[in-house]
Amino acid sequence: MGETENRGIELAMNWIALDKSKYGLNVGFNIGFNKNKIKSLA
Amino acid sequence: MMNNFGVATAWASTEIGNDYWIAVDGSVGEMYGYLSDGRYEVSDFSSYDEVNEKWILNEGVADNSGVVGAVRPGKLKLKDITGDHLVTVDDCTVIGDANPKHTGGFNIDGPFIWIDISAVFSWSYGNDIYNANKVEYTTGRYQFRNMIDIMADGKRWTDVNADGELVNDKAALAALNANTPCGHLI
Repeated sequence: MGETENRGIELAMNWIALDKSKYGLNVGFNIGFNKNKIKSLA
Repeated sequence: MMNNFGVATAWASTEIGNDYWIAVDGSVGEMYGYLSDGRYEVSDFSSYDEVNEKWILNEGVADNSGVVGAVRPGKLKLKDITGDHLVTVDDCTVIGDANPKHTGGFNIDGPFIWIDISAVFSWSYGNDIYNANKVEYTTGRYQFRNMIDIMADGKRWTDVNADGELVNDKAALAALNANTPCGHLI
C-alpha cells in the first residue's frame, strides 16, 4: 500500500531527590518530538 | 503508483464525505475539508428574484450552492480557493493535523513506609482537534435537534419574522438578523 516514516527525539530525566529507609521523593520529566511522514503510496 | 486520496471516517454516516487526507510528504492524521468563510450576508446578494424564487449573488461572490444547496443570506459560506467563484469539491484542502509538535510530562512520587503517592501530568502541544460535537450540534440537518448555546434563538440567523413568514426583502432580512453572530442552520 505504501510506506511511512516515524522519526523524532525523546528525552527522559529522573531525579531521586530523597532516598531514606522509610521515605523518599522522586521527580521525573519527559518530552518527545515525533514526526510522521507518508513516504510513498504504491 | 497510487494517487493521494481522501478517507471518510463516516462518523456522520454518508453526510460528510472524505474528512482525512492521505498524501505523499504529508502525515497520517491530516484533516481535509472546506475552509469556512463565515456566512452569506444580505450585502453579498444583489437582489431576490421573486419569479424563480432565487437569491442572486453579487458578481465575484463565490457560489456554494453545489455543496450546501441553494444559497440565501445566512447560509454557510465556504472559501473558494481555486478562485473560479464556484465552490466545488476542488476547494477542499488540508485544514488540520492531529499530530502534536511535542508531547511530554512530569511526575512526582513520594514513597512513605508502605504507601506511595504520585502525581502524573502530561501534555500534547500543537495538535489540531477535530471537534465533531461542534459540527453535530451547530447544524440543523434535522428539525428540533438540540444545539449548543452559540446556536440559540436570537443568536443564530433566522429567515422567519415574528409572524412566522419567510422574509425575502433585503432590508427586512438584514434588520431581522442585525444581532445574530451565528450562521443559518443548514
